[in-house]
Amino acid sequence: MHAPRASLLRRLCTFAAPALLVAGVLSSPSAQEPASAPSAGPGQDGDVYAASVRPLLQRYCFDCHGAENAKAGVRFDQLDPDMARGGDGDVWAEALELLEWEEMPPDKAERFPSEEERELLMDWMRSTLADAATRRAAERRTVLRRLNREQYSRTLQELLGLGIDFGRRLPADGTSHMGFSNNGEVLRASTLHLESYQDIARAALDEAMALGPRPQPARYRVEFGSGVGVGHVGARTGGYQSVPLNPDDFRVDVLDVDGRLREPSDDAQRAEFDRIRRKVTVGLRGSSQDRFHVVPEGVVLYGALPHREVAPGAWQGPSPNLKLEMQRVFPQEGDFVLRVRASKGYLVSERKELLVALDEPVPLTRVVLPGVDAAQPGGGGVAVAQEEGTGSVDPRDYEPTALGPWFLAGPIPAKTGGEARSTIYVDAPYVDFDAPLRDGETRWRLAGDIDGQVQRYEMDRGVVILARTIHAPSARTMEIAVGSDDACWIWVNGRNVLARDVQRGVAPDQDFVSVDLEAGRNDLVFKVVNDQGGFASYHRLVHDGTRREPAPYEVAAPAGVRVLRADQATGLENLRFDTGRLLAEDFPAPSRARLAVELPAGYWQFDLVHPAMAPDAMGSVRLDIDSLRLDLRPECTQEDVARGLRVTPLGAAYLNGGRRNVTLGGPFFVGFSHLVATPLPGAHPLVERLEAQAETEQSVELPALRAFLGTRTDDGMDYATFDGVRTVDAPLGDARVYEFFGRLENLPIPEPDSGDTEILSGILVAGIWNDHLVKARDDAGPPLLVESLEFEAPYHPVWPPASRVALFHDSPLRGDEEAYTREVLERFLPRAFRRPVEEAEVERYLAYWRLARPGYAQYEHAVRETLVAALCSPSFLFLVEPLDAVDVEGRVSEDVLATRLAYFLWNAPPDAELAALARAGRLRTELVSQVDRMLDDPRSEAFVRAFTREWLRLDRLEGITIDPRRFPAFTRFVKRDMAEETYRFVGHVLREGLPLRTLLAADFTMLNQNLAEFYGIDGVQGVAFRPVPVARESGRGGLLGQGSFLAGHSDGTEPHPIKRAVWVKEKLLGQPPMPPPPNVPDLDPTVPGFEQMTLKERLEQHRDNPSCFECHAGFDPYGIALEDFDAVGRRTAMRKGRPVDASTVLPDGTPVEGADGLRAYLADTVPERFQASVLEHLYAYALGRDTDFADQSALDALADAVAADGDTLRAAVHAVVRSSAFRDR
Amino acid sequence: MARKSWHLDRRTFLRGMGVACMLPYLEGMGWAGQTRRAAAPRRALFVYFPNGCSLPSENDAKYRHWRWFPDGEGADFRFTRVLEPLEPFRDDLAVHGGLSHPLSRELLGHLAGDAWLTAGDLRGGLYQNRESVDQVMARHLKSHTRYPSFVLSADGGVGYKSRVSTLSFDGQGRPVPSMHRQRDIFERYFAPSGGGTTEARRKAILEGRKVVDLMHAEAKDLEKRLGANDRHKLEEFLASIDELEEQIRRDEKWLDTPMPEFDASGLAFDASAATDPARFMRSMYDLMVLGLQTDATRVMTYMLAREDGLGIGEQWPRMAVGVNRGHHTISHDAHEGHWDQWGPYDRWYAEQFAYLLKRLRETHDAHGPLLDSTMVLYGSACSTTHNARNYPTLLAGGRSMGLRLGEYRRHRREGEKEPDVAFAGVLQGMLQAMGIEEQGFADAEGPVDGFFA
Repeated sequence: MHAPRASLLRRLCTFAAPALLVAGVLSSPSAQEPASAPSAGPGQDGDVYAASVRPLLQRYCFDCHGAENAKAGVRFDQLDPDMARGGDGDVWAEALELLEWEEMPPDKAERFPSEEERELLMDWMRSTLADAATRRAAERRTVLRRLNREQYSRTLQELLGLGIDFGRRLPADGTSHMGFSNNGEVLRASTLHLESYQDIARAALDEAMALGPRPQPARYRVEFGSGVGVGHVGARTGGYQSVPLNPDDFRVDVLDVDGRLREPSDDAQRAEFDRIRRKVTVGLRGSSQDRFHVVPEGVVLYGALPHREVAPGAWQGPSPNLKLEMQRVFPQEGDFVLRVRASKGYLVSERKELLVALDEPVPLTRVVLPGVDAAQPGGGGVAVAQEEGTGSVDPRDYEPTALGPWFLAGPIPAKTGGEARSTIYVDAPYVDFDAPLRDGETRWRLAGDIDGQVQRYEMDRGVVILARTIHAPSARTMEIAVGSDDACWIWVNGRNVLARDVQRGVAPDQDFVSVDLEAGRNDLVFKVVNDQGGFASYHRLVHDGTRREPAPYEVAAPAGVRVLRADQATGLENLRFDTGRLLAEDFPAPSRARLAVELPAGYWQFDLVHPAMAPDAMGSVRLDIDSLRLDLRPECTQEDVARGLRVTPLGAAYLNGGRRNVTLGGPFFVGFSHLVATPLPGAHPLVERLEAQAETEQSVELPALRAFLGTRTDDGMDYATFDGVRTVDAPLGDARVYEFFGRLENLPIPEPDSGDTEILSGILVAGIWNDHLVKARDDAGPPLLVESLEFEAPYHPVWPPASRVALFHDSPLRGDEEAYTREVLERFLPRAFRRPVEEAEVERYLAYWRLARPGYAQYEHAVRETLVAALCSPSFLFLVEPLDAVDVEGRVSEDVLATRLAYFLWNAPPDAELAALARAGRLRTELVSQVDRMLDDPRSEAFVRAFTREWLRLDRLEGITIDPRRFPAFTRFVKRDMAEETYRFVGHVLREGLPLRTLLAADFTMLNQNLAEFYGIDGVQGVAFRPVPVARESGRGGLLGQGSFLAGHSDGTEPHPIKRAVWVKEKLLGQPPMPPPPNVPDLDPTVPGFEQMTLKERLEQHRDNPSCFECHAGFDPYGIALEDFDAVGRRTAMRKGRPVDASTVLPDGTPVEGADGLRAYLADTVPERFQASVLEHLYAYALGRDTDFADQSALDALADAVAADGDTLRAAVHAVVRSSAFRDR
Repeated sequence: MARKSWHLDRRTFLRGMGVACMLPYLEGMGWAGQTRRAAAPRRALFVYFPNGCSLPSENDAKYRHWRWFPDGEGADFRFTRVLEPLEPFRDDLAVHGGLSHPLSRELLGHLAGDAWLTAGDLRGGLYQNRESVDQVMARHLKSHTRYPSFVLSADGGVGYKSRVSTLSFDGQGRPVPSMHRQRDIFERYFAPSGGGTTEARRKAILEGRKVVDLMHAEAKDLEKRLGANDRHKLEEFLASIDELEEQIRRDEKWLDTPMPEFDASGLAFDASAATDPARFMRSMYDLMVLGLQTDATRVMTYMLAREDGLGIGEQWPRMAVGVNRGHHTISHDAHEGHWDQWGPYDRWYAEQFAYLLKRLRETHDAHGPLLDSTMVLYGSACSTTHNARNYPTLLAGGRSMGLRLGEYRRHRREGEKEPDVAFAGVLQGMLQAMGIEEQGFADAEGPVDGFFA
């Protein structure tokens, strides 16, 4: 078996701009040339070609690959037989391969060459190709490579000692046909690059030089615990669906650079610190109330439940997440640290009241519309009765009440509070506003329009009486809101309806009173008493009591179920009645309706019967049961809209018994006709879960911490995690500090110039969650106790920072600017250019500095400009390999070799050891030990990731959108861990010296608990990845069974056999199939039963089309064999209700059964083809250029070398480094 | 303000509250000296209103009057009362219906505003916006003008992700801060000395030139030491350096090119967005016209107000149409009379926009009315409340750039579940009309049908 040839397509693409690529492939490679037979090759070759080869081709090939057909875009009548100078070498190489494999001519051909004729053809092709390869190799050389984005970032980072992702600001790099972004041919340097290089370098050097005194960091520590904030300045950040922590339960301290409490030096500073305390709040937005608890020691966070990837929940982070919300009190750039003081936590088992969202929201209430649903039996144990007597409505019910003006008497002084209380001024049903009060002196006077305003009275102790008449056309209820300082009573028609005797300051809406009005005149009297201090009152008519018609349907409930009707609601705000429903007057404004209900202790589910709304109206509901709160957004279906109503299960609560105030409303309130409270039986899953949570023993698993930073947005946050994950093993009661380091510029922080004062603008969020991710709400996971969060930015552990000292070293020459600058340059330039620099070069930059110096007041700024120039030099930006760096034997210089090695194995510049060896001329002799050292260095992770990502196209996984409704368990954390699995798998195979074959057929894979649970593999605990043995039947060992590939090559809902097949062929077998021809017809959806067909069946239909079959037969089977993995990479036996059929016959005639069969075929039947593909990709990555037919002999030699050295990935890296192409020119 | 006795064309004197501009033709003043024989400058303005538009359903009694989109189709369309103020310009504009960004359709409409000019993907957990089309244009055209672009709004700054107060996003998808104080805008862009920034700019340019000189010298030295293939590769780099040098030379020339004289006595800097929004808006439009006249820039965005009841624009309906509720509130409302609030409010916006078109038509440069060489995109990123589909979209001007005008085109993908066509096709068309051949803009598959005549 031969190794695969470098493919035809690659060759075509290597020298073509991307736009030309398609055209080049779609037309014949030489279509631009006149359609005549090409001139025969030179000399004897040409003679052999014309005399013997072409006639054979004409006889056996031209029918399909000639002027008439040109299948696969190949025309043998036009191929240039001069393989060295012509452009068709790769086509010939491909043709040879197919001849060797006897894949051409195809079985259905009319004529087949004899064995001698085949031999003649193959001999001619082989010898001509070999000859051409020799000639091409002489011209071949690595093309000058610009640093790609990642290399640029890492190079600047190493050079300046800064952790900024510099490359982010550069335009994206292209990729070569083989998929690599370090390819010299495709890396261009546009003017946009050049401008960016200057800007980046200038900003980077400013940052590295860090001139000036040590900056005062923004350093805030927030301690948590019930009641720790009492008596301290604190605030909460509101906004839609916020879950702010009560300021009583945290305390914000402003610290100095050394972590000591900053004591304000004066009142101005005290005010400033208080301002900060109000701008640093704590939120748990996006967190369910039953997943965190404020306890005396801090905040307990249960294992985070990942959010579904459905907006807007997808923007709120996993639940629970605890974060500081800092508004415009943080710097824009620099390193920062987030310190988390935490330990293992405990389950909060006390039976406390709570209100939670439902795991699987199913309404327990059923409403049947009269006339529409009458034929249906009433379900759910809830019967329905039609409202009777709807025909007799008294028109007066719709008339509003007539309100008389407010009259006021007093304030009347009293000697003591007791006297003020005991003196009764009013007891008559009707008030005579013309007569004096009972004291005989005090007279009523008109008070004006004082509703809804706080009235203040200038008196220390006394009484004020307020009164008005209300004419009601019919009997009805009215709602009055009052506030008072200190006590108040209300009478209606002489009947006392409120007696509130509390010592308090006045505020609006302290009490709500429902008042029953009679038809005709009613007298309302309001007495307010003051003991001492301020004296004030407040009152407001909330609802004017027009008749509240009942709904045209009624929810009649069995015993125990409480049905609360809208017309029973009081305290209405921004609501109006409309046929039995309360609807928001001003939809976006907050609404409120109160309902009082007596409920026995226990678990209750609350369902809301409300008008249906179009989905784009974004209606929502806020449910408050005393201090418990839940917000949610009902989702209405088209059926609901047609029906006009919907029953939305709001949530469930555990409530202690007693009379409860239930409030409905919030902004964008959907309105309602009924609120139904249904007791949940003990066997209800939710009850079991909540009960179980209260009783679970302390888990043996460990919680973990993951930190994130981002920007508060309207619907959530734009966040990114940073600095990995920490397992928390500190025992309860012995918390320790876990530190997370990051760089502000690398994360999605708010824009500096928010330019407005909206309450949500300019908010930086910095927080954590318990990264022991759980899959279901009933799993609390191991609890985590967080005692405090501390944010510090910019973080400078030492001053001046090492980056400044590295640029401006100590020197006796410091007094002499020019001499010192020369020293600075002599130190900097060799590092920047990755080679020794000559005197003349230093001189050039020194001259530049001299030129710049007068323009700058500060010496360092002129040096900065000089270094900016160096960082824009091609010597920095390109991996330069000059002609004079090659010796007579064709070997590249040691400096060049060191650079090649460093960018191959670290994607970064050489370190001091490599550079020193190169200077000493010893690198070549110590190559093996250096490669081992480099592979064992953590920096080799950059190689593993860059190579793996581009070879295996992990970008496709990143880019895929999996349908969250179809696969709710596929969260972003599963996606992230799938990529992680592949990176760590390749890294493990490399570092542990495992055979190449392991990549295909391993008996382990790399998992953490999160991914293992997704795959359905038990027994993996915690956040750390580790090799986990997997049974062969699980399908998991090896690249073919990894989610990164399987999910990345789906369409989001179904697997995509074609994408998978192309990947297998291109990446694992090293034979990219031809791209589809232009105007390829779509699969025909008019075929009967198309919707129900699996893609495999559709493919078969497709392949019945002869124009498609030619190509598809060559790769489809590889994808069909993987049909037993679904769109998210899980083993599946059924698809579209039918058993999965993953049996197929591969192009070479081998029948295989499913993924296991394909893996066995690849690993055991054609292992050389897979290994050759790995080597070819590795070789291309190492050299920074794609391969072509001229590399074949080198690749063959490489394969032999690797085989002789244990056939491991590690050996492959060594062999590539030892290859002539890598070590020599 | 200074007034010079140039040989002026009276037609360009403007009346009313507008600018009396003294720049009939660019070359008439002999400044910049680059337009007489050159092709007409191409310009693009982007004007955005928030919260969608009035669109009563067909069964609604208000359908005939208060529907933003016109009646009819093609050249045979008729404005409803909403866009009626634009009747004088009906041959100079095209209305497009049935357009939206595919990636925004499932988003809350207010969030779609972040992506109006970017087509960015804001669906995922990470906010990934893209470069906005105006900034792509600015990047290509900046060397021709004093400033790459103007970024304007009612509130200034950038707002915050998901509720921005700017329409423009840079190459990394980060919001470009907008300006809203008109005096500041004037002083920054039109003050006689360039706002005192000339020296700083001169220094920056000088630094850039020195760096480029050195890069050039280094590359030339290196070239001698390279093999043929590498030398070929380095040529690309050298070519880019040459281009950069060219750009720097142009930048330097601008430094010594005095700002053209103009008369700004008609400009009203005291217009307050809080108390007189129409006047504020018209003043902003005046500044934009002035920017085009003086060729200070050729690309501008102006976010008239912010989404979702944020910012000062929320207060305008009271002053505009005497309705005492916010714009966002109106957009959410469903009570019977609310189309009589939303429709007239949209009409009020259209009246102000008509003022801009009038100014562009009245103001001439060497090639004719500015309106002919200026495309103005006017619209919003949702139609009905929070529905990020069927964007209200109007393109005015641009006759000399080959735009197809004088019709209402309803785009539709027949037989598709999602009939809307990608809005990026409009942005792509505008890029092409500007003569910029980018490889497609976002998810556009070429300009939308009927974009060009």
